[in-house]
Amino acid sequence: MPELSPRPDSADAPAPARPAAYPGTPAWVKIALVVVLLLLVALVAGATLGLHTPGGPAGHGV
Amino acid sequence: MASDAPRRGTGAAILPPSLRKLALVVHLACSVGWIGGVVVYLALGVAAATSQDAATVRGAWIAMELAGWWALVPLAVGTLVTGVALSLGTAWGLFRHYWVLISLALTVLCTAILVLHMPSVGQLTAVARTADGVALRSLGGDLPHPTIGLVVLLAVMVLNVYKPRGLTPYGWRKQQAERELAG
Repeated sequence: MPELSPRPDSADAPAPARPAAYPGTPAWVKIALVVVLLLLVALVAGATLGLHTPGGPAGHGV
Repeated sequence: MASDAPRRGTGAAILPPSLRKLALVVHLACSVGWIGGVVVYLALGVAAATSQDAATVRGAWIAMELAGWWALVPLAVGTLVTGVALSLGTAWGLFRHYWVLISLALTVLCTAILVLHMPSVGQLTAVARTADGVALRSLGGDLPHPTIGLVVLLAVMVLNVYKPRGLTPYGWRKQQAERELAG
């Protein structure tokens, strides 16, 4: 008796070809975003505390 | 792991080699010149902030304004335009790889802040031309803008040299579609 190939709906059937899932955002991008956010917080804190020169953000429109 | 490096003939607009090399030469000249210009601007800013000599402070502000409008702004715009042309004209694309996307965002940010900041430099230079004594020394220098700008530009340079792996979701979808077409 010839060996039958597994039925498409059986557990032995090979999975249909589907595109792989998106591998996700790389770790270096996440780390860079965190660093940028921390720098932004530091900048805002510095500006709030008045750490700027006459040409700095508060100097616009002198 | 499959490479996410761009392949030729993947549907992206490809510049002819001669044009690509020309764009690359202009891009490198503009971007390296921009970094060098910021270093000079920073040196002038330090001189304006620390010098007790009125002529030095006045001269530094005049030089900062001239360098800003006649060197930094043109080099920034040149870097941005040639960078976009290189991305769109090669298989790297503009939105496919994180390193290209982040480089673009940082370059746009630096250019925008530079152009928005230069009018203030012009106003302070106008003050420096006429002020004297305490009023002139109280102008200080312009240190935060060139310092932060230099750090950001160096970060962009590192990204462009190392080209770290990482496709954006858009880039991944385009890659999958092109593999299906090729396959």
